[in-house]
Amino acid sequence: MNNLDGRLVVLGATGFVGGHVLSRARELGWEVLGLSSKDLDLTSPGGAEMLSAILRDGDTIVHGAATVPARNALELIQNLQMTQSLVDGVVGHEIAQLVVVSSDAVYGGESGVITEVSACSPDSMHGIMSLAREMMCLEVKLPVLTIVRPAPIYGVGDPHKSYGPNRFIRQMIESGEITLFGQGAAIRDHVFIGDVANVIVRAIMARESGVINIASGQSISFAEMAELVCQSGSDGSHVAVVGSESLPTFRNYDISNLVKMFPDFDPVSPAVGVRQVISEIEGSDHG
Amino acid sequence: MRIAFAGLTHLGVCMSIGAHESGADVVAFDPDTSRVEDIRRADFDAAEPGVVDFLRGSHPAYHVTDDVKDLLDADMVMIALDTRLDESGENNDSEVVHLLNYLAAHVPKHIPIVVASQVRPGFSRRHRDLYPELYYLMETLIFGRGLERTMHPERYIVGVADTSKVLPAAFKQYLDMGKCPIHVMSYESAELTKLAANFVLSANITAANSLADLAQRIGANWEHIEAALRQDERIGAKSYISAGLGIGGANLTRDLHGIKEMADRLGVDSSLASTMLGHSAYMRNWMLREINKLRRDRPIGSMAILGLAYKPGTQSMRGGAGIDLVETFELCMDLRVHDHAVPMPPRPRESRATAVKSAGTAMLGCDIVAITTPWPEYSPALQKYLSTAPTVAILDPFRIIDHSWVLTSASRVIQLGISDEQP
Repeated sequence: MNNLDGRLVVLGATGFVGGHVLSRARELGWEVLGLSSKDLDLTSPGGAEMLSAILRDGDTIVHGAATVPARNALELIQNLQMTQSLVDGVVGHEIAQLVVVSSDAVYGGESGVITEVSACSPDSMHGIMSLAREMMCLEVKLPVLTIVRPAPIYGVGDPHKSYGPNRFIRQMIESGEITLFGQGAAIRDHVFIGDVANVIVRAIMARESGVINIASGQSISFAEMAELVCQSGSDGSHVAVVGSESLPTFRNYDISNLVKMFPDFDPVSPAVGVRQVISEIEGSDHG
Repeated sequence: MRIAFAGLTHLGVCMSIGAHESGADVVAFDPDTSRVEDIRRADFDAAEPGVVDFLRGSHPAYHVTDDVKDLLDADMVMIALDTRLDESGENNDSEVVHLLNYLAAHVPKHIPIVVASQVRPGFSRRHRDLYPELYYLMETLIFGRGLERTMHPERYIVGVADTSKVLPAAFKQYLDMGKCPIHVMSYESAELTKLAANFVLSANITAANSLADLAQRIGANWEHIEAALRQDERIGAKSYISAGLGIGGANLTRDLHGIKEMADRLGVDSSLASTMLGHSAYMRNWMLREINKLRRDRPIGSMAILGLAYKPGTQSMRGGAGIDLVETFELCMDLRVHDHAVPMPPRPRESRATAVKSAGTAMLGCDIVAITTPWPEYSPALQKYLSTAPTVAILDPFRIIDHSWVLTSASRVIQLGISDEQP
């Protein structure tokens, strides 16, 4: 049941998502090949040829290679170069499935309930880059193409420390003080990295094609998240309000499609996820 | 007066029986022999009151036939074939066109042909060359109330090629049997009226669903709000503002697709139709969202699904919530499925869904009870079940459970539009 026909090749193997997918696949005993930019520079002129030489017929590829977030045109172009190398590199190979790790940034930043049929209207360089990567991959003829669009991800190994649970947890551990901008009223869905890896692995096992949003379905405000981190942390942790919040937006996910696809999949709640991240970080810090 | 009805699907059968019961001689015709045989055997949707009983009886003035010659002495011919919906829910009128072609070739040109099938605006004008004496009559049938609606119409909406000309005597006589106002207008106006009615109804449903969803989250009760709104004359006592799982059935959504397609083609903004379709899809997932919330608190091993029909009084599952739940959860939990009118379709071998004979059996020992069709007989069964103080979560989107039946907080009732956490 958990077997994979062929090999799993993960591009961006040392990245946040790629690394977790690789670990999960190894736990399942799959034959895996993780490639990071050190192993294979997809932005180099020979990137496609090198990838082509590595790939075998029957491989499943997870495309997690990206410079994220793309903040400017240069990073956008770098990301598109990586994807172009992938698109060129798979030519001539019978690839079983390609999973593109994209982002919910393709939906833009407006308030609302997001589903897989929400219109894509990126309003950031990162969103445009993510959508362009998807569209480049759509050009490739493949039996199964899966595009996963995770909500903002938190968990151990996130290199960005972006505003939200990752930064809150780090601040709580380092100083006991969590910095919240203004009221922290904006609402987001934060998805646990383990769930993202889990859904990607399930999508491979089920050979699911199409777009899959990966979210917890349990949006909370930044203020609630900060409070949650405080409560889950050591005594004396507290929230310090600084400055003000720009006009807050409220983003919720209807994850019905995810439930229909994987009815026994139960996303981790923010409370459980935050506790798990804290214990993992504290465990590794002490170790 | 002798009226022929062509097309013995739901619409044709209901309309033909209605005309017979109002005093007309009726020829019920279909060139498809198998459909004629079905009607002769009284093989028809049992959930349509009165129809099967009528078909089983003997009626000298109701003649069922597949012989087109039987139409030659009719005073008018009504095409009342239900228009098929294709996979995407779009109108597919090819069978209606085929029937019209067939009749045009066989029926003497002086006999008026009236199209009562669900057609898109432009249909009648486009096909008038085929048959000059062509009229359109808007049908307003409701599944489960077919005979009642055809015998007691609130009004007739008639489409003609030229509004300055009088209606043929036989058609006028048929309309007069309805004892209701008759609106004669151009083909296009009458055809669009059909879509317009469904569009406005859908807008009401969408508004109600949207607000009920909100009410449930803020500690409000949509039923109280609904009752107050119904007394607003501008909204009306009979308006479609009961909250439910999206825009039920396929006909309303078909007409929304129709309006959208037409508007897009003609460069008219169609965003309202898109919004309603999107919101309906969202509301259809209400059960899934609630189940997902429930299993955050405790594991769910079994669920009773009460009802496969998309609404009471029909055998159609199309768009129904019951079959949706079966297909979603049959591999990961035990499902006990009940519907007294609709048999469960064959399931895959690994499915854990079982059809059971009574609602009581379905509910016994389940973690969740999902009421997916509000069949009236479920009310007493639920009252009896709740009297045993079961530990269960009941999803009741149609609000058929009276809170006085609930004896213990272990029996949690989740109703669409009604917060169970009153502030």
